[in-house]
Amino acid sequence: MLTCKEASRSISKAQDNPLSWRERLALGMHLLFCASCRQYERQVRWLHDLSQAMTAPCRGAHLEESTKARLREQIHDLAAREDVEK
Amino acid sequence: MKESTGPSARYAPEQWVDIYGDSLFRHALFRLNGNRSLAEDLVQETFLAAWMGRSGYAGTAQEKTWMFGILEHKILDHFRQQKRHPQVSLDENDNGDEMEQLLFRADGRWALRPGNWGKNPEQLAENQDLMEALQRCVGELPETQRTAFVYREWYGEETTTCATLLEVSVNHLAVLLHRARLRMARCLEAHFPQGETT
Repeated sequence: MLTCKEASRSISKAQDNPLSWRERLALGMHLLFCASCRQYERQVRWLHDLSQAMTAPCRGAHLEESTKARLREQIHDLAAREDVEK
Repeated sequence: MKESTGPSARYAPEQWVDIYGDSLFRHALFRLNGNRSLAEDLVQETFLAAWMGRSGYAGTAQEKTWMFGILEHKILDHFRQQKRHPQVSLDENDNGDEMEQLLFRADGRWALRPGNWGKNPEQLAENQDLMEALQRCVGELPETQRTAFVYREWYGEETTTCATLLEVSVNHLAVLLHRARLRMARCLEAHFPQGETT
């Protein structure tokens, strides 16, 4: 039987990659009997959902072309000045 | 030196704006709750700092991670000046697992049991206080954990990509993410609206 500490690792791992059948079975057994770890599993999933919800509005954002031009120019100037100093 | 792994290319400063501009800007927007002008300012400062520091940059980190690191420091500086995020942590020392020791008893059972966050996560996304708490909690993570968490959970990068960007093994990335999630869950819980515990 997994301890809660081990189960919490598996819960995190499952968020990123599929567990092996052995790991899945062990975690499933543990969750069946452990309300705290079920709670933690829910928290980890919500952490993911909340992160997604929060970042969604900015996901397609990009710098204005005019801003990019200004930044490019700035770096270009720095490079030019350095060339002169050399 | 390992040169074969992934996109370890370094670009000429003249190319930075086109290569990194949008993704740095997006990261700043995420962290600054959509404040465009501030995000632009910090991206500009990042490029300047990168320019100044580029000769000292040994190339031990991926260039992208290096740039993000600079930006992240600018963001944390901003928070610090605002005093809204007083507990910002720049603690790099996350090799220990104090969090696990705190959260679990010696026999591996929860010392502090996870609280109940209610039943409707969709509604939580509309809770502005909670979104700010999420930002604050991310800021309080140790630096490598924060980078791992942000790449993975915010940008949805594959674990192999995250590991390459952070230059750690996939197994170590899993450890970082696990610790970050434990901390995030615990931190958010303190800010949670229905803060009832089981």
